[in-house]
Amino acid sequence: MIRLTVLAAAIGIGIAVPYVLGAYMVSVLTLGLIYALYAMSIDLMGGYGGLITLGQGGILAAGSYGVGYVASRAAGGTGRQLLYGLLATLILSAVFGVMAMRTSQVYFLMVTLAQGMIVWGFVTRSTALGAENGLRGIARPAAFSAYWKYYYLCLAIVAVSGLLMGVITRSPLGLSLRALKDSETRLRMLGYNLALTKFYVFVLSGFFAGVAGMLLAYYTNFVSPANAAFATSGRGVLMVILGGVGTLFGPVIGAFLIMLAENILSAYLARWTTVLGLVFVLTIMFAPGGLVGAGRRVWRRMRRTGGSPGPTQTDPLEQTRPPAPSAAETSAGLSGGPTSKQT
Amino acid sequence: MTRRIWSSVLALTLLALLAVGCGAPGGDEEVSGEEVGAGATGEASQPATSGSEGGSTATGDPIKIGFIASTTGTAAASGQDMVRGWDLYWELNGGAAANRPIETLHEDDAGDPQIGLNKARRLVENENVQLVVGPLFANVGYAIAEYLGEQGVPNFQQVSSADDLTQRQRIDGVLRVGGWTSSQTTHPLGQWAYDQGHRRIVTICSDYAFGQESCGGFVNTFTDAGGEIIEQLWNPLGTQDFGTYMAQIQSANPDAVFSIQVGGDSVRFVESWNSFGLKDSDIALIGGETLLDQSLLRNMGDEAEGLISVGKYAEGRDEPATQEFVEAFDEAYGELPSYYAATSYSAAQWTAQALEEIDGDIDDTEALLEAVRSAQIETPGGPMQLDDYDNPVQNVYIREVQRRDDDRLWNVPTETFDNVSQFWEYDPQEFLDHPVYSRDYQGNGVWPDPQ
Amino acid sequence: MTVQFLLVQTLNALSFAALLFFLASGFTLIFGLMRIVNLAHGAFYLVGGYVALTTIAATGNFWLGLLAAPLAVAIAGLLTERVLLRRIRGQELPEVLLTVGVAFIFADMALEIWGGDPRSIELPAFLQGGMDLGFATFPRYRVLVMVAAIAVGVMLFVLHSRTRYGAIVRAGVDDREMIAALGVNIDRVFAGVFVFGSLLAGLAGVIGGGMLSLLPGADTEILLYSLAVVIIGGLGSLPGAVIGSLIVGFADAFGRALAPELSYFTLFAPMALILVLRPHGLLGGR
Repeated sequence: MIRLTVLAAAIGIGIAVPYVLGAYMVSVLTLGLIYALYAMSIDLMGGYGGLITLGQGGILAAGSYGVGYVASRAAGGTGRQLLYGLLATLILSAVFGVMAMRTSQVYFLMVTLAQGMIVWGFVTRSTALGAENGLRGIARPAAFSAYWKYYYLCLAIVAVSGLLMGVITRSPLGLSLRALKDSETRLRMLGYNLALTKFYVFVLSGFFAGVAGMLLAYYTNFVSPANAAFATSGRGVLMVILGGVGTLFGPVIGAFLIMLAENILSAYLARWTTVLGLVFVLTIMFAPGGLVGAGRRVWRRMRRTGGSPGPTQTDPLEQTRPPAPSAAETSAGLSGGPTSKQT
Repeated sequence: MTRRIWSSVLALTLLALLAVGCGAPGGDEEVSGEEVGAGATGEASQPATSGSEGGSTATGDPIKIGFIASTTGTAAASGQDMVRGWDLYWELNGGAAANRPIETLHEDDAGDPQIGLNKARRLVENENVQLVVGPLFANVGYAIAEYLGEQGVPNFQQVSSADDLTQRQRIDGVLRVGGWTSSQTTHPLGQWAYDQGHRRIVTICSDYAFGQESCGGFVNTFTDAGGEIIEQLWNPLGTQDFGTYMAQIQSANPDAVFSIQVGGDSVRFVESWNSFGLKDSDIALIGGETLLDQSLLRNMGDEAEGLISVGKYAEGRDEPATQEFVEAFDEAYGELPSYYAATSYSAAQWTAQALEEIDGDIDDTEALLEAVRSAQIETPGGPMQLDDYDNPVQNVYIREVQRRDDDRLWNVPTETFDNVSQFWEYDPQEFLDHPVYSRDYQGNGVWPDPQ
Repeated sequence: MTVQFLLVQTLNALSFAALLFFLASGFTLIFGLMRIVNLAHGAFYLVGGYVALTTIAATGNFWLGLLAAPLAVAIAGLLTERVLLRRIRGQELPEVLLTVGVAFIFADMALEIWGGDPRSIELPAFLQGGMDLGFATFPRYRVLVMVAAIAVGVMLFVLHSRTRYGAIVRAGVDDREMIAALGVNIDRVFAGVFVFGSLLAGLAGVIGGGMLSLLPGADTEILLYSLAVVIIGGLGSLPGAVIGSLIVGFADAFGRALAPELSYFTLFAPMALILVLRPHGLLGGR
């Protein structure tokens, strides 16, 4: 109930924005929306499935380059641009998904890191894709070229995507995703095909990242390898963690915060990266649920009139495990006892 | 308990970030149906009346100029030099031109085209600047040039040297004031190398547009003169270890090696050149400008002494225009100026002179551009004037690294080529009919046969 | 492709592998015992190099720099472990992400303190210049780096397999709960390993600073190489770090020479492949 109200309010504010703020701020917020979609895509896999990716920038770039290549080099119309963008995204997500679907946790992190780097290495060297100068002259479809029209387009797409992702997380796939995070062993013993689940969610997550990439290409009217760099992937994860992993709204907040920090804070503070790093570290240590998680805790505490605090907030980043001071991991595989240990 | 305190601290920090973010300037304008950026000239509505530069005696309304450079990130040092060079000019000249104070708004693009574009947007739409100077990197340059072209705001790109920006892919309103093209200095170098007696050369260049274009210029004129390029090595940007390439060079045993590198790569290259024994061998080293630019030379030692390179600027040039600048820079910052500083200083000189000529009426963009195009400036790099394609015709120097009396290293010119254009001695139209230099096209063989 | 070329390339590969080994050994030890992928390792390397740079510039003494850098980084590691990592002990993903945050901070502070210019460490005269090996001249410094790597490698092996401390670490890798139950102060062991790993990273920074250059971005670059090394060799395995370093060193040197267009693929493709086919690396066991 609360969620819907907040969502409605957010969308309401979103619609009102161009009437209140000037062109520049609206442009900045458009970028924020695109990043929000990007962050949500990371959260879909990471927050709900426990599979945090350090290579989403590569998939974002695939979407951007698909559009960019057709627009800039192959002189195609909007239809072809979108088609290539989608194809590039889906094919790449599928291939990467196959590579990553048998790994988990830290290894997953590293595979995706390597994947992102491979994409980056490829686009930086490819002369067909403009190498490190990138591709220019990517014009928006004529109906949306005005800054505020494009803003509304992005708002609509992001809102719809958010809703779609909400639906996905409540679907059977989404539930098995959450089960994945809780305990892979259990899920496997129940007969689920882990690898396939991971594959599906990888492609879904990639799809949304690709859409964000396409929106980005139209927004900046150009695309460069920076989109695929590790910094972009890292930034995405930062947004998710800061905002609140495992909640769809969290990444949105995180995205806006990071974006504002980068574009506006950087004007006032030379060492804003340090501040960002500090906030990140503090968030992980003391507020693993991010802003949204902390917000929820505060809300819950406020609603409780005195009395005992509610059930302890489980760390959304972590698989459920017994609270040992130094959690052990047995080298034995599936000899699962009553406690949930990961393989 | 502690948790709560920390959570509050965190919340407050984030609130502060948010407050800074939202408190940012954003005009409260009614949205209208008109399209911004659909080729309309002029910028967003109300001109801001911000305070004038402290200490200036100019009386007119301030002129706002946006200055974009990479002051954080891997090129931070070069970006800093750009800022210092530009600021130095205004400090020495009362911070004004044509009786109007100059207000420079500095923005950092962190080497990222996205951020650069956002900063450009902010400068134009929020701050209503009437001119944007910079940036450093070519890909950021392309990104903002397109946007600024749409907005009708002139853009002086004094550092980024991507050939095509003033050749085959020109954007209206982008002028290389004080700048250069990547191949401009290497064209004469190829001829010079041949004249020195070198016949077999290996090139080792940074594998991206700048390196490829610089190398292409060299290869083109060297092969035209009759020389042979026996091998072309390409190292990726950010090469840690040049040992591999040193081995290949030793293997090929050329008369000379041409190399162009940037940033950390230059430092490592020069160091490897020495420690692998090539400096003491019979193989000569001929460098591009950024191999031995002062910004890197500052951090090199004996291994750089005596090395030859080509450049549009030589801080050891014994002319008042150069030495006055060098001394002023040294006094202000305690270091010798690099070409990043020099080109920015030249851009400032140029801007000031153009403004004087149009009586400070910067809103008349046409007049400004006309004044810039017709100006002849005596810069620290020598005399400069824009050609028909908005790139300067300027001097090119063969330089040698020497040690000063105060033990610092600098580049001293040993030979000068006057009035070198971006097209060298070729006919511009014929030149443009050929593709831009790239890894696949280096201008081998003799023109006029393309490809 | 002459013999001379092959020999010099081999030496290049070996000297680069030597540097990587210094970095990767600390990295793999930390993972092996604590299951932490210390993504701040690159930043530690960079800070180590810078500290050495400043110390040598200030005192003119190379050996002092060689001593000061690992010490400084070890302290940084200690602080990181005590103040930050300890609180989220046992949670793999947060630990990794936290090290990312630490890396951000260190890298930015390094930029603030030492600026963005590429810097190299001034080597003492006896380490400079080339050594005539008959078939070619090769930098004297790199030869010594290889010698040092072998020495340190041997020392590490001895520590790891013949000392009580090494035994504790090995036992901890196998079964953490067990050795805690046996009365070992596991917290102290963890801290010790993290500090030791950081010390090695700092040492690598000094060594690297003399061979390559120090500048913003060098931390990420070298981190990616180290990741490749430990992934290929096997996280947690010292012999794996040796093998991994050699493989990456050779792939890099020869890859660059023979197929420069694929320079990133030669690094990341094997890494990705191993992660998919044999996630625990060549010598990593579980």
